[in-house]
Amino acid sequence: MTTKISKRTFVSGVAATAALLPRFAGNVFAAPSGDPIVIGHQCELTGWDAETGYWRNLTAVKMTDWINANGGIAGRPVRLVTVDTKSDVDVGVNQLRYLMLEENVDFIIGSELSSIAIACAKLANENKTLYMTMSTGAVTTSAPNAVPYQFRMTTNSAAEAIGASQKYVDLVGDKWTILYVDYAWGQSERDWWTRGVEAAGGSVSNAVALPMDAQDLFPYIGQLDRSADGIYIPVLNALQALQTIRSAGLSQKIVLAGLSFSLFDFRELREAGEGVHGIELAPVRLSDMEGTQMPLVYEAMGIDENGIESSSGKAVGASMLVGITQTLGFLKENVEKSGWQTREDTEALIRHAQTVPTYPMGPLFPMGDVTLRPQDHQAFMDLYLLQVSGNELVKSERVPRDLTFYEPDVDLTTF
Amino acid sequence: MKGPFELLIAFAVLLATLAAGYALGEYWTGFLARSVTWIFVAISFTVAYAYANVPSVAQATLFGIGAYAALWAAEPVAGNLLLLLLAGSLAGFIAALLIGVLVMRMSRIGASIATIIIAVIASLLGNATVPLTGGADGMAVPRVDFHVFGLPVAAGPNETTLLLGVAVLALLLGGIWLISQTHTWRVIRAVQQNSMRAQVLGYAAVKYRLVVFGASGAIAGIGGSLYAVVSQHLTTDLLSLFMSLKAITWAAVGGVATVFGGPIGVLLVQVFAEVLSRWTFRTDMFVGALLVLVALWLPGGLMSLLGRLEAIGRRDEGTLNGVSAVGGIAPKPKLRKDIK
Repeated sequence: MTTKISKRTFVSGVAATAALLPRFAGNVFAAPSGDPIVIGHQCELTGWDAETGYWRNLTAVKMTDWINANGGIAGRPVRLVTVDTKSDVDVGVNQLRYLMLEENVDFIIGSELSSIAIACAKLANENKTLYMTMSTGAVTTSAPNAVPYQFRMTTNSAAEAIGASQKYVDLVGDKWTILYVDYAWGQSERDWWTRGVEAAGGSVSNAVALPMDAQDLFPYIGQLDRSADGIYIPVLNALQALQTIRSAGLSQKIVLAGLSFSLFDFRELREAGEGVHGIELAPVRLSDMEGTQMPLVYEAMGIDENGIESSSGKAVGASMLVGITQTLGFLKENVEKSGWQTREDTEALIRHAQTVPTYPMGPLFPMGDVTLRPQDHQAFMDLYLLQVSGNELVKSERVPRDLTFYEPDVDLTTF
Repeated sequence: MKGPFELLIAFAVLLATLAAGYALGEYWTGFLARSVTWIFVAISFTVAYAYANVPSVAQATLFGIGAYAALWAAEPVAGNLLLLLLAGSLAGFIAALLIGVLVMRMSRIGASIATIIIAVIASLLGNATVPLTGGADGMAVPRVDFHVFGLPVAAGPNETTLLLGVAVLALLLGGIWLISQTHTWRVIRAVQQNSMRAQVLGYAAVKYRLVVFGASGAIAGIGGSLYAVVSQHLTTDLLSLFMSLKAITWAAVGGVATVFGGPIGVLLVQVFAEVLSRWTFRTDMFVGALLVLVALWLPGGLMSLLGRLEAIGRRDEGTLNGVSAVGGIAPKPKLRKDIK
């Protein structure tokens, strides 16, 4: 779907939002004016990844409203054009072309699915349009997929594994078994988790491939090593996998792959979820967070202090929220600091962004400082280890971003 | 196979597609270039279903196999498009023959279920062989200088690939029409309508059906290799059951009994969904409703409208003759049961 807004509606909407949301950062800004900066959002509104797409779409809409209410970007209003990829590569690529050729967007917030993101980043690069990927597959910003016109302001599977595996080896034990979905993302998670666990002094005794369309999980779960201390689960149907694992009588500690708690509402796990761990970009409850920024983000998005969206009753996909907010923060910072005016200036913006090592905590970096590595355009941020406890998702530990670094295999600074 | 009128309509649709692609700008050019490649898989389903008696749910799998064959062959043949099309069609043909051997002696329902299983297995295999296919993340088509008859062809969704796709499709449809005028085609129809009777008459019914099913795979493979050139990036989604179901939808809307319905079916559904997507993201619901409407009122697809118009024309003609001859209502024409 494309959200198209007439000029009159757009201007009046900006004015109304400006009137409603003036106090976010404690300042009152002049309403933005001039030609809007157009940001395309390639989002999974329908299809199998729609659950995470819901939070990315909501965050993009609400935080764009917030930006417009707080002076816009470089004094100009922001117009968001959202398209639906249907969680399908062919549709996603087509919608990217629509954004670039029909909507003439200035920047694109990309897909969360690595299959779509990899294909689209290359096309955006050819079109010299900045593509802010939301994919969390490490491969997206690695050779041969890394391209100069692509940045990632969310985490990825490599950073998660490197950062969290040591903590979980200490917490859970040395011996691991993995149940992974047998496609690129699952295979990448399997490899990085194995590497991380081995670096932490542990081992992975076996890894069981789960076919993408598997309906009956018992035969696969039966192959998991029952003597392992922990089970690492990068699968799409994590909810079903968890319930089946518990039904099969496996009582090991379980760690869900990064950002899995955005794939479903953790409360749906019921008793099967008790004690389950996960790696996210933010806790869910405000009481687990530090700083003053997230309460304001939650307020702007209509989310209560327990992380429940008031209108839908859904538990927030906090990692999606943080990823999109930081992406908008990146665009705002670099447009304003590089003097970007039109798409002709995007190369200069990229070169400027490569010189900015850190984005300090602020309204659009609400969880803390973010480090950007210029070589592969990958951002690094603190990770949060969460655990389901008594029908709540609570923070068990914070992993500082310094522990999530890994070696880049490309150098985009010389493009 | 109906007369040349259906062929002319299909050509007219392709010409209109070409004109629209050139007139509506770069985005629509690319959109139509991709859509034209999908027409091959719709036609392929029709050939399998209507002429080989195999309601195959694995035609997109054959399309995907053709696409990957083109990807793997791009560098070895140095971007020669004719050789790439040949590689795609050959891969599709061989894969279809292998599937055909398995399903040919099954009932229609059995064959349908078997092809579903084959499509799922192909998708799983594709995802498990990432070095070969790129898995769900996909694999880029090598950057080579594509050319045909010595002329350079810019890869990607553009005017050149739209023209190329339309030209190949026109040749295919024209070729099918020419074949439909031959004795061999009559045998194929006889086998399709009653394979037992054809067998008794001395025709090797299974072999005929197998070759026709192989041809359906070759058609899907040609479409797949064109798709590889247009999209420049392939993923294992192409092999999925979901893509085959899309192909069935296109074929059903255009007319599942005639290969000439493919262009109309694909373009109508794709353009309808694309235009609708600017207003709502529930496009699949509306496409589903369109399919239900077609199934209810035009079970033979849009192309069956031609048959209805012809029937009305014949009835009117008969009525007029009747009036002039006897001054009353013309009698109901008798149908010869041996002619279908």
